[in-house]
Amino acid sequence: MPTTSKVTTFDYDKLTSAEKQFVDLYGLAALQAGIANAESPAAPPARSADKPAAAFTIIGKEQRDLEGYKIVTGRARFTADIYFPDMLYVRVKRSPLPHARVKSIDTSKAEKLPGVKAVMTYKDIPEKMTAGGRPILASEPGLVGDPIAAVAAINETIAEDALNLIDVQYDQLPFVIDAREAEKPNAPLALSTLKNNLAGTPFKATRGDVSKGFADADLVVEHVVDTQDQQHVAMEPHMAVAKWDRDNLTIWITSQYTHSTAASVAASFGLPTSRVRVISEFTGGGFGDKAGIAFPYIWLVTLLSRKTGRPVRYELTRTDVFMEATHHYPVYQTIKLGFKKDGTLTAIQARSIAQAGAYSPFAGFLASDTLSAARVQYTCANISLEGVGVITNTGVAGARRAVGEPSGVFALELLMDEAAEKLSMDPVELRLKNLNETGDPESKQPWSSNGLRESIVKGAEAFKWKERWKGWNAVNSGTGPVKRGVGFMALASNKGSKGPPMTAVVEIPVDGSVRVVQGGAHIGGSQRTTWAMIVAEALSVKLEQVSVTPPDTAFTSDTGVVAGSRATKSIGLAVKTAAEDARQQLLVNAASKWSKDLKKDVKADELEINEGLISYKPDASVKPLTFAQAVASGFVIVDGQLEVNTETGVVRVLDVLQAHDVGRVINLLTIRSQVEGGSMQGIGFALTEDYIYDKATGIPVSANLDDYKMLMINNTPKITSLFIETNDAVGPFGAKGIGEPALMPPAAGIANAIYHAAGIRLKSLPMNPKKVMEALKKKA
Amino acid sequence: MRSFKYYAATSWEDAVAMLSKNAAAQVIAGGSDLLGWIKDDLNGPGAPRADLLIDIRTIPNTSYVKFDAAGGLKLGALTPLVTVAESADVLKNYPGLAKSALSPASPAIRNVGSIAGNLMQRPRCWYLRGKDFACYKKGGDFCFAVTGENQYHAILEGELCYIVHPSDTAPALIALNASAKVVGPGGAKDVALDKFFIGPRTNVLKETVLEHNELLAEISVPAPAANWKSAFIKVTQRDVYDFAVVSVAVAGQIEGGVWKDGRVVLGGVAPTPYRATAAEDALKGQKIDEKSARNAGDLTLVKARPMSQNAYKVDIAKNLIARAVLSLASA
Repeated sequence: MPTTSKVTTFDYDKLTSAEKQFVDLYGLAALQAGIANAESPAAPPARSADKPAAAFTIIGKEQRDLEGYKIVTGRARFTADIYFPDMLYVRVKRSPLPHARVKSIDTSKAEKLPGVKAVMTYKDIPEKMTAGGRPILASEPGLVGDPIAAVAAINETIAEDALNLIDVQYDQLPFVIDAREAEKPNAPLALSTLKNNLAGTPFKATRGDVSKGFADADLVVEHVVDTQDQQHVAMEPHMAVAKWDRDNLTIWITSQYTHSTAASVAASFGLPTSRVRVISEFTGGGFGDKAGIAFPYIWLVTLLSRKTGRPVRYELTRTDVFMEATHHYPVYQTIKLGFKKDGTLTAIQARSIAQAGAYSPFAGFLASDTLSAARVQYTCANISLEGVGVITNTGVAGARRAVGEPSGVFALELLMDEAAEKLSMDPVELRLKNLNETGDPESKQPWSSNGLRESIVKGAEAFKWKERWKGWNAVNSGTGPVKRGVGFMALASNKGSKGPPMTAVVEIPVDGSVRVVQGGAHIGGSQRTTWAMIVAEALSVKLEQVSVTPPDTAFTSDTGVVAGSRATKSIGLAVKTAAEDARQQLLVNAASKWSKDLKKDVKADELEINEGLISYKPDASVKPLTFAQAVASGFVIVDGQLEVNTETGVVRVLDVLQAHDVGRVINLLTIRSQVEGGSMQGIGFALTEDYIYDKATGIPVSANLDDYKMLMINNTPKITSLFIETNDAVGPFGAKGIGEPALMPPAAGIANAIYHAAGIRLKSLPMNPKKVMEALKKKA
Repeated sequence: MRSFKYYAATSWEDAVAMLSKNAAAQVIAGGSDLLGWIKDDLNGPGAPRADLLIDIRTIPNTSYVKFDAAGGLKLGALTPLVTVAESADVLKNYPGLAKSALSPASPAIRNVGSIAGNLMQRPRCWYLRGKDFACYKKGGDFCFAVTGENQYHAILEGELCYIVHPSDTAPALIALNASAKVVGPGGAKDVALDKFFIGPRTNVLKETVLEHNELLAEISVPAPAANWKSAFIKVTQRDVYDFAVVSVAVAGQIEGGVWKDGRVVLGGVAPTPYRATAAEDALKGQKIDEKSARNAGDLTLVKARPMSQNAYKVDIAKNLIARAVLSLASA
């Protein structure tokens, strides 16, 4: 059947470098490039050498973090552990207004306070210098919390006292904090430099004829769905220490991507990157918020260090983080699906408004990612999707674990559940019926591997779905105030792509040890251990023989960000390729040594490596060589069970099962941790986390960890992870990404289980006691 | 955190004298609330910026749990919540109090947080605790919650200011008819805990009857009469590190399944712990069953005046009263 597809996104060449980085990271440019040659579908890629899991000696096993002992004994050096004797400490005065112009700033009293070494305002920032388009110190603050003045003092207390001595007068400007309002033509401009509040070209994707699709449908379901503002809340707050040594600058920073920071700071200060060294030995979580993003605080420590000639340190408070760091953006969606009686999807129509906040470098793409699942997950001949990003005077939108997909898939999977009920179908069957198992419908790029069907079938089986679901008659059938229910959702994620830069060097020094030199960050997912396992497997050496460098831009090359679920797949591929090259060089060296010693022509392919020893296959009597001797020459499903207390509105998740097509398991221990951590972050998204603004003033009221409710260890349900190994065509040993997909399933799964338990459909996150009680009241 | 001066008090008299001399002084016990207050840099007539902290942890013999069957229970002001919660005497004679002392925050906070501090902590209101909102307590003439984000605010007895009282132990102690020993310049006096808390219509700048130079030194609970039972239930979103959306403490004399006498007190719904006298009156002499328990809840919330976002708390409060009353019958 001939269908016409059209996807409008953006002009890649016109993007800023920060925007390009984001687009590259999430493979969004590939989508656009793919459209151009969509005429002839590419052949499905061949799978990686099919090796049964048992054939591997290191990968696929449970491996503790090789550096975990350093963390639990306090020996790991985080940025907060960097101190210098003459170091200065920074505090920042922030705007109390969402949009204003600074009329005057009087810093004279603060400057006179003993112990204060420097005070800066926007007047001290070099002309045109910004942090990736954000003001380093603002003269026109665009959100509450924009930095206005910075103090460097001999300790934090003095710096804090000095803030209260700075007098700032503002002229208040009109502001807008809700994207739905900001989108309207007569809305106040969020920043005076804007012509309207729209961020970039709206995303549009059409396929077939959607009105015909709805006309042909026997059932049409429609929802208005909204998801909330969140912050990543990595355990380690943002911080940096800057130190100038003549023309050389060193920055210690908590980061997922040191090379990006080195490049943007070097460009901004007119330095060659060779003179900017950025170090991040350990990072206490990032979730996308430390993905090399240009934050004002990085420029502040650098400028204050240059001004004072002393090392300068700024450790943001939690409230500072809420205000300065990026946010998982709110999305307002209308979504409509059409079905035939037999469950065949005939049409998908969706519109998504993404609240970009002020200055987001990613604003233009935020909406498109929320529509990814609607475009790709199911086979549907007729679609019409539109997404707009809208600038507002709120927290700067960015990439949080899976970016826009969690919001989009929540909306889609709520509606799939409702449709299943109206069609009297098992929700699992409805998904299986419509799964897209071929590839990207627009670019015609086939999946590099696809285990979604297998994940759904095996996951449902492991959860005993049929037995626990009991059919649609079981909805709200429990007695007593506490009702139990189960829910199901499916997800095909675009995350975990392969993309440049991917570089690594495997060095085998004269002692025969193995050193992996690469610039990727260690952010809590035991990334360095994963890469060591890949190298050990590829080189056939013991894991203990391998060490991996921390990211330090002075002696590692750029291997990209640890985000976008790419650490295992892309960086893993880089280290594997380097290891294979090193292996070949070792074998060639050994062959030439033996040719000389044994006085015959020994070829490299006659040699093999076992546990770090090179042996000569044709003759077992030849004593094996040590390395020293030789050198001397991605997809998902989730089911869950929960309890709804209909007297208090409290939802308690009891049992979660996530089944993921991960291509290949590298480290069984850390991949489980990813699913468990992702589940908890997903449950927080579903039930409790909410960054709320006071509408009248634009001031956030939950910018602290009391009012912004992260879940705790005692809220952890039983979490089961099931891994389907489809042996991906691209990733190292067939592996693909898991970090982001693990967050997405809980929200829709929980919403569907709440319906199963209590007969209420919640369409707004978080599903807290307020919303549960309101829905119960409305139903009664 | 900004700078402040520190003084270690040696006796209650010493602390009272220091307070009398320093208008900008505040008392620190466990500090779990006060230090957050200082970090948030709040200031105003009802939220004075403390230049001097007077530490009362350094006063000897202020942490104790004493019980005898005739005289009842005495709790020293500085007794950590964990000690109250784990006391065998409290667990046996006042189970509702034990449970309420186990409810605040987390084990770490309950190890340092004192029983008096739990009663004296300032209200939870994100407008009060946001330094850029000039609300009544900070010298303004406006309550931002009325037209703003009020999902956690008061549904009962709000006037001018719609804060809610955050303490878990206060409702439990009031239900048990506890009293406070207050020390001040004129010596010591007893104040019934039921009269200890004051709402915004009495004084919008503070939440208790204490003057600036008065301190809460000891809490007394009468000995339990025959057939007295008590219970405490708290609704939160995440079990730990969470203040009550609604809490309820009940204590009653139950004979043959009939409510002879007792108290019902709500937390998290009003600027002070809310004594549900309507429920108490309705229950008197009634057999406890689903109907009388529901009726007690419904009658209490007749007076509720919810705002734009907090009507759901009315339903939770009704359900919670019923649940707590029923639990006494089956206890």
